[in-house]
Amino acid sequence: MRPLRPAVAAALVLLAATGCTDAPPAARSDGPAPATSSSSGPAPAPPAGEEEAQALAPLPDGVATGTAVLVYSGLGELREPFAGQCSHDGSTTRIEGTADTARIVLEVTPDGARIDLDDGGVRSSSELSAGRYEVSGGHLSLRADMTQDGESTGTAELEIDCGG
Amino acid sequence: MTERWKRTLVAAALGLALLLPGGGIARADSWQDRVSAGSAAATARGTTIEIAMLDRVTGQYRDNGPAAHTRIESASVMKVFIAEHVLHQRDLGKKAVTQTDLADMSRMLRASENAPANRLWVAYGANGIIADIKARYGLTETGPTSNTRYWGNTMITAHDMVVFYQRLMDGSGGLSARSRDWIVEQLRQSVEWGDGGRQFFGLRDGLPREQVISQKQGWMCCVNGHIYRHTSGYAGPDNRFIVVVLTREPSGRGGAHIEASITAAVRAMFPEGLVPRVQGQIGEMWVRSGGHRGPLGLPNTDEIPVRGGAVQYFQGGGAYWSPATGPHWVIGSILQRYRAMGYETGRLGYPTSDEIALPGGALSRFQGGYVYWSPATGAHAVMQPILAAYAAQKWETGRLRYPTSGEIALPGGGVMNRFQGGHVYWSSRTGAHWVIGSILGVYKAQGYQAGPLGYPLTDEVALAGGAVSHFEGGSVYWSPGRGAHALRGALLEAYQAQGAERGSLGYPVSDAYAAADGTRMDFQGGSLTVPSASSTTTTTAPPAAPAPGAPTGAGTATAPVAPSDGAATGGDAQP
Repeated sequence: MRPLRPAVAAALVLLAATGCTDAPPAARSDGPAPATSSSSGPAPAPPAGEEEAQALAPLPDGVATGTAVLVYSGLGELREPFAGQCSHDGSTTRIEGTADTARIVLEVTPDGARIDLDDGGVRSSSELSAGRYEVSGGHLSLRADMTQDGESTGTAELEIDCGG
Repeated sequence: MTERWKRTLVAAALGLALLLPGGGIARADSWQDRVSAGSAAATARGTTIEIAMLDRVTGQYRDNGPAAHTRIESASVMKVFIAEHVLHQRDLGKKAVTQTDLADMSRMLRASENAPANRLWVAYGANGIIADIKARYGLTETGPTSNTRYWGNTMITAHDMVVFYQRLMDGSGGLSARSRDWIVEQLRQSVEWGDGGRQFFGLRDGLPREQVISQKQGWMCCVNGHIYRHTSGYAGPDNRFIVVVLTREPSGRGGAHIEASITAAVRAMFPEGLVPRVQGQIGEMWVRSGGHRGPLGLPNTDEIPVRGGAVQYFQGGGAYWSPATGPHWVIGSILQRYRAMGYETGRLGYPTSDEIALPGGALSRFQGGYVYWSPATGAHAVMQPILAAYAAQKWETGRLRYPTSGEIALPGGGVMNRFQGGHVYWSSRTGAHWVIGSILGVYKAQGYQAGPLGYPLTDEVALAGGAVSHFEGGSVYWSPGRGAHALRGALLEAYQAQGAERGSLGYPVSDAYAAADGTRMDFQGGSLTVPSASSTTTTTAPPAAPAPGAPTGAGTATAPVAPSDGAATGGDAQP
């Protein structure tokens, strides 16, 4: 397991400290509403990358079982038992399998992480943000935001045991 | 036809308009133009768009043709279906809706949160919800999601969503008024930020001047390579207008692009920043007059039924309609005069023209008269029968020019109007006649119609070398250089017996005055004296050579007219 908690805690401390300082006047003024959802709003989490790829490296290859919860904004959610395979190719971790009628592929590389869904006529491919990528033995506990083309598409939660 | 039958027919027509696909596309009217403008704005940006809208008051439905009847993924718009279904189950007593359920649905509708939708979608039967809604609301174009896990793939059309919102409001879908009001209140309290995104694109950003918007938005990305933005709901505090705009485009363009498209479409439809509450003939007139950029500006009220017609108030004035007159607008000072005279219930009645620009002023015509305005005179009404005399004098382009007063009632039942160039008097005995210039000055000196001259019997009559106005009690002759002088009684009779201005006496050069042998009056060609209490009239030689401009007899080329003078303008003290 390679916990990311220290980094997250540091970020939270930094955010808290920033919140206690005076914001610049422009940021505090009640200006006109932004024109689009993409032009403002909560800052998105940074994309997953090398740190997350390293976090998943210890997962053993082999059979994968667990639960997949993929929540898509404005669409619905997949919340089903997952069965598939865990594998590695260099620094890339790949978990693919099925959850009920859905085929799911998770691929985490140092260049980023993405999750693909193909479920009975619904296809979606999303990049994963940084978040919770915790590995304990053969168990992966993942929770991350999904984005595509700069657009938030939902959240992914996976509780997967690799290596059977 | 009874009111009940009328209502039935209107309802039937509305139902047909909503149920027949593509009904609005061939109509060339302002509402259709708006829909077309919205469609064009989005299409020009490469965005697939469907638009449908309904004025619930008039029943006017418009859409952008086949596009509005094409199925598209609903995204979160269908959450209003879930809420309706859940509350309908409660109405029927089939399900108990807990406070938790209500709180969840409130967040689902206000902030478009997904978790409540996920839970209720499963708990209440997934596509069974859609089947129930389709059946109760008569949604012929709506379809279930192909994968029951994903409620956002429920297939809707802009047309069917208008039908849904209409029947939600009128109760024909079967939902109780209590449940309907609860849903609409949630839509009214839609928050700016929800479900990770800003949900004020479309209606809210496009209609910044609309007082109340009750909306259900939808957004979804990036399913099967597409991104979606939908905006739908009611506009106006009375939920009068239903507007549904559904958009889709390739996901690679990003959220900002499609949001700009859908908001641009709404703005193109309603450049006024609100859904203008104009309709029917007044609405068409408003559009012809330039809409919100025209003299009327934006509407302040709905159309208001009044006796014999209807009125609608705008920022710049009022629009009045009656079956006999059609719609016409009245603005500014003329509107103030119209108001002072009791609007359409007063003598002016309904306007029969819009405001007409004139050289140096403006005019609005009404059933009962005209109201003229100029910067120097303000706005004043000219009513029949004085109006006929004014017309004979070429209205404001003639010698009377603009009115400086409204109609003034005179003792004895007569009336008069003042104008820049003179006065017009009317009585039932004499009709309407105008008096101007120096002759008016004499008339004033004599006490107007209350004096010995009484009401005018004629307009001013041009004569060779001068002019005359005849009155009930005498005549006033004028010639250049000699002024205007009144003749009455025996003096007038004697003057006329000698040929008046065409005789040897010519024009008068003095008023009547007391002389040793009676009352005397001097003329170009001599004097006339009327002895007191005597019928003998004496004519004497001329006191002086004729002055320049003296009459030369019949055949004089141009008849001079009495000049206007200060005494003839507005501000005269009236009797």
